[in-house]
Amino acid sequence: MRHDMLMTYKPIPEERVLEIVDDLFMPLVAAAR
Amino acid sequence: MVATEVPSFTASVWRATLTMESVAARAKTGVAVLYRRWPRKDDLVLDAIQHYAATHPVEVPDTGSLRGDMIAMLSSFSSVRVSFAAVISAVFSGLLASSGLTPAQVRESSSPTARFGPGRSTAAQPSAARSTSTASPRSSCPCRST
Repeated sequence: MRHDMLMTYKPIPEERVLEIVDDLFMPLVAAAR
Repeated sequence: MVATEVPSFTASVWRATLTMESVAARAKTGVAVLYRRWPRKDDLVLDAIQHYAATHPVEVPDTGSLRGDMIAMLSSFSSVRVSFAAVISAVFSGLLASSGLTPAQVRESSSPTARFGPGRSTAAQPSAARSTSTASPRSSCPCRST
């Protein structure tokens, strides 16, 4: 997210947020449980 | 007061041209006043970064699910901090060069823990704690008090 913000100076699109949460964060949480 | 002037100022002016005199003029105070509190320009910039983070907190919502909390928190982070990203990118290279700090050291020194003490949590911790303390979705739990 920081990389995207520093590259564009614009808010992160909603689809990018969903991608980060669903493709990166949630699988890591699931794997840790 | 002075710290609030720095982020907007540094957004429009490259850090190399940021001087204690220019900050003092914009804040309508004397240079000696600045040097009394911030002996070096790097100290002033670091304090301004801390001040911005403290005065623009990221909302940590309770949507009822970890996924929902993360989506809401990241969306909030994105909208609240995007203008700050421009400031940081402008000041960062100069700050690192003159202070000798690494990016990680700057982050550590401007973190909520550094500013408010070890009891302060990060933005994501409340949501994660809620998630681990409840085995099922909270929306289905009528006994939940908060």
